[in-house]
Amino acid sequence: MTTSQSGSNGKRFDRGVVATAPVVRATGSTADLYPRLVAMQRTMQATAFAMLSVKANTLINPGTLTVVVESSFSDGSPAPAFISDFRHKLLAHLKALPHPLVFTAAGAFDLKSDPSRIRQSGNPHVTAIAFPVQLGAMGNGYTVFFGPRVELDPDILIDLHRKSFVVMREALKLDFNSMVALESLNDREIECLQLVGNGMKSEAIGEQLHLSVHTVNAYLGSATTKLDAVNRIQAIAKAIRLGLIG
Amino acid sequence: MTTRGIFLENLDNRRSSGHIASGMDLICAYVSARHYLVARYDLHTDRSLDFVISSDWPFDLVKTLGLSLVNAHARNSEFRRCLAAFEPSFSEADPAMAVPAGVSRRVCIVPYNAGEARMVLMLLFDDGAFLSHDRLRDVALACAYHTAHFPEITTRSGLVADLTDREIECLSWIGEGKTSDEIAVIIGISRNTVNNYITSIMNKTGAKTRSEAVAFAVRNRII
Repeated sequence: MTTSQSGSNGKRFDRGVVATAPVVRATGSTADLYPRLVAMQRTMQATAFAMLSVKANTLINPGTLTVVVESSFSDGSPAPAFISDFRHKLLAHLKALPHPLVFTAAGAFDLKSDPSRIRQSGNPHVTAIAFPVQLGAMGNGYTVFFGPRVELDPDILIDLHRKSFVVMREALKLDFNSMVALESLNDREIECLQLVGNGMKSEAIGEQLHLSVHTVNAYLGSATTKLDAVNRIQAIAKAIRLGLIG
Repeated sequence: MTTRGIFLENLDNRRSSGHIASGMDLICAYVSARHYLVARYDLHTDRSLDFVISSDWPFDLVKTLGLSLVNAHARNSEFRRCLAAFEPSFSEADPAMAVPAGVSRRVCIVPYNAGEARMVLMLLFDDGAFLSHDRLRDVALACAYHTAHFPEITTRSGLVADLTDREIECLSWIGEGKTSDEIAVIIGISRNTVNNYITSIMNKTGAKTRSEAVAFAVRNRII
């Protein structure tokens, strides 16, 4: 069994990730996702699987696709070639539609536009099927199964799609778990960041919280450092994305 | 009872019906729900009910229960929302709220994502109705597939669309901690032009400071 992880654990999300409230934490590693994916691979009678994670994917940050876990091979993984061939398709589809993507020798099509096509085409032509999972700002990606040999009816598809969500949720909890060691923001820092995000200036925040403007700026400075941001604006952007402030 | 395969095919056949409401009856029937409400929680404000996409709830209940539940979900941290996505949960209606006779006070909440839209489906059941969690999980995905057939629901709000690509580009760089001077160098325009874009962004978003404009953009997933 081999598992390849995308970079070191801490880099899977922005560094400096912190938590305010205790959240259910999973313990373990991405290797724990392996049995679930193997079971799905068996259902599909597929030759191989890969779980892909999608990061960024905004206007100025083109998305990245990385392999979180994949099945083991004697003759090389199909995932890198698959990612390089269909990178744009995969990134664009994830943002646009929740439907599974089917890959054939003739190209890729999604099951929204023509769900019956998958049956007409016959399974020998299906080279891969990818289930998109979009949990929100984090926990996005695909589970991909190569060379499925079962008839892909809606019943099997939704079952595997549901399982793909379960696996992605587990992966997200693992990610969060690896962030625990990082320093966390205190209540005052979060309060000040929240008020700045609401459009208040340091002076006004100082008045509201009965603090001097220097103290407010000091809190904002330490929050910025802890979030590994270059200034308070980036700190706010990071804090909202992480769910530290609303 | 309908099997899952038939339910999905029937639902898919409603795609060309022109409105999301056609299809919601199938979803309700599949999980034995009495009433449904579909809302975009990412567009929710306290001031209007525009975020409610489709519902056959009594209007008073939409205003009280619907609003309070959507509010509660929208206030959750992003991490919790991600973990809650596509996972049905239950919530008890406040005793002060009047639910129709024979309807249970336990509301099922199913957050889901379709394209850019962050949605939530809320279901009301008859008192003592048998609830299948397995079917509710099917519905989370089926509802996402169904919603995606109606692009007018899943596209961004009017306000967000008002920002030009250049403005969004500037805003994205500000969110990365860049100054006006740095942005000018990055996109190859003058600093004054950058500042003009930023002024325009603040006018359009109603933000008083750059920080607020960035916060707005991140909350609305523009950047």
